[in-house]
Amino acid sequence: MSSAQPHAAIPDFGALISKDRVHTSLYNDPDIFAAEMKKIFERTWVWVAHTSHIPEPGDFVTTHVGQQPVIVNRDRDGKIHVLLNRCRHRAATVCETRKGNARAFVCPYHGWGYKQDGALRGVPQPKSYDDDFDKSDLGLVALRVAQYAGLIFATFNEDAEPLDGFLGDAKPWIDLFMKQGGGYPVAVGGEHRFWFPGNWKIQLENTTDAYHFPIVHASFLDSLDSQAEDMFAFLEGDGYVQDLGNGHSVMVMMPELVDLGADLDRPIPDRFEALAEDLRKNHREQDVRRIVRAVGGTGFNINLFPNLACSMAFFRILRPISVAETEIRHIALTMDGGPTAANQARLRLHEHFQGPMGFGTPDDADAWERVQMGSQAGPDLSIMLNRGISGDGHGPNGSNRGDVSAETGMRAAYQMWKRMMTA
Amino acid sequence: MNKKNGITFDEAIAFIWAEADVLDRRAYSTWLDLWADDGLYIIPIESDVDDYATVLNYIYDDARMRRMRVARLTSSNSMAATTVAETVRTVSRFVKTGSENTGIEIRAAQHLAEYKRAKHRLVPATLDIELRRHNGKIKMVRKVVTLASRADGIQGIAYLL
Ligand code: FES
Ligand SMILES: [Fe+2]
Repeated sequence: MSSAQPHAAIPDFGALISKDRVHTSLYNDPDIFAAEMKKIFERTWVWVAHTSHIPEPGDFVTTHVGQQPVIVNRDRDGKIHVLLNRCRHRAATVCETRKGNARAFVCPYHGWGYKQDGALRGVPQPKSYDDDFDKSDLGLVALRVAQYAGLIFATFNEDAEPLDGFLGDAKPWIDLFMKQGGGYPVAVGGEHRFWFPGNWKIQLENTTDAYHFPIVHASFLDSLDSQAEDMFAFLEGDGYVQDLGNGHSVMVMMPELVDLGADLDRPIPDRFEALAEDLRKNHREQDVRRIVRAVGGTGFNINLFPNLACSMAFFRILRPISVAETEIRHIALTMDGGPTAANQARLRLHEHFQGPMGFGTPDDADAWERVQMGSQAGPDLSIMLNRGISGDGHGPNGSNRGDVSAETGMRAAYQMWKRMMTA
Repeated sequence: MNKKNGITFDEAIAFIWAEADVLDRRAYSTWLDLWADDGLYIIPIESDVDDYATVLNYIYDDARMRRMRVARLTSSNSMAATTVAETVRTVSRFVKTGSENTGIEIRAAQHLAEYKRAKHRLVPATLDIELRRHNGKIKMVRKVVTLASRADGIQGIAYLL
């Protein structure tokens, strides 16, 4: 073979990202999307489930890492596994239900059976295989798994840095987020699942975009009482966005709702007064105040690159389907073992804003769809991300930090995108 | 059947057809008047739930939330609602599921076709509707819209089902 074989040109992904803008093709180029799946979703830690999804031995959920279907389960010893949902014989999925409890996974095509840890237990009619047929080579492919504060992540990459280091400065914020259990563990409590015809990064940006709120969510704001409306007028307040490293960021909209365990003496908002009165029947005043303060969630969004956000009162999960199709899940959170009235209040609050028929999400989704449509025009133009850029380098310890409507979190995500796409 | 408060099968069907027409015409304030004050409008994620209040739904609206929802859809402040979706719905396959003593319970099929941004989409659902008479007028006490696609991702819906 001649050594003059031409090399396929490696696209210069780094050139698409500047400090204050990114190239429009990031939203609509199928080749970039294909590279993202390989270089990002198959290389980094991807959120797959919360421990409360699979509390008991045998519990499982099915989901995706990038575009690859996986099973997340807990074995009889309590250990969590993330397994490719693909039979090692001729590729059928071994599990088609979204959640359940299974002692084993038996492929419906020819009946190969796998244990909870993915090991191949047995195959029907083994006699027509040769002697070198080695079951120990043919278990379901297992991903690396790690967890923090109940959040379960998986990666294909044996060389990825430990999850602890990857989350880094986001960890104290995750701890604060989990205080919305109000003294109880946080548990998932149902979810809204919807999709929109647009690129996944449009949604990634949106979680750290306070700028759109009064415009896109005007009809939601109209539906609030005046106290709540004031609380959501955060563009006038002292909030901020801070780069947390590795593509992660936090956007603090309501600084008074950063630590839900503190300031329990604050007056109870009018909209929660009836709930507080109800809770007083069975709880001490201090507990009532802690639960009520936690019921509406936190005042900040943590955007964790690439697919999870801990967003005020819920988890936002994005799943890239194709370059112009993205699935979003808004997972409601409850207080595990907490008072029924408080948990029902949390579910009703979630329904009010979230989901395909909420007062907020359909308007967000409409805006994202327009971004995707508009990005067909002016293919050489840029997506501008320069709001609050003067705060870069001026946050705590020289970090990037801008006011609440700064695009600091988006710049953080795209710098991580660049790092991974050019690695 | 209790003559004074009862509702016949035919009356129920006529009411449900009229409601469908009201919704396709987006006459939402008329729609609010079709409800009993304690009525519940529910679009569940899971089916066969005993008490929808205890689980997450797409919609779990009492009278206050219904009023707010209509205000949102009719204000010009919702970008999703101002990009109008044309809907054409047919309700049929009526089955009586409860007693006729003080009202009536009906299960029916709803085929809704939506047209928005040059695209059609189908939103099929089963309706469970409970009607009761209030001062002689038929009112909706409960409407549960169980979407065929409830468990999977659906695109935003900025009209009423
Ligand atoms: S594909 Fe699974 S047993 Fe054949
Ligand atoms: Fe939004």
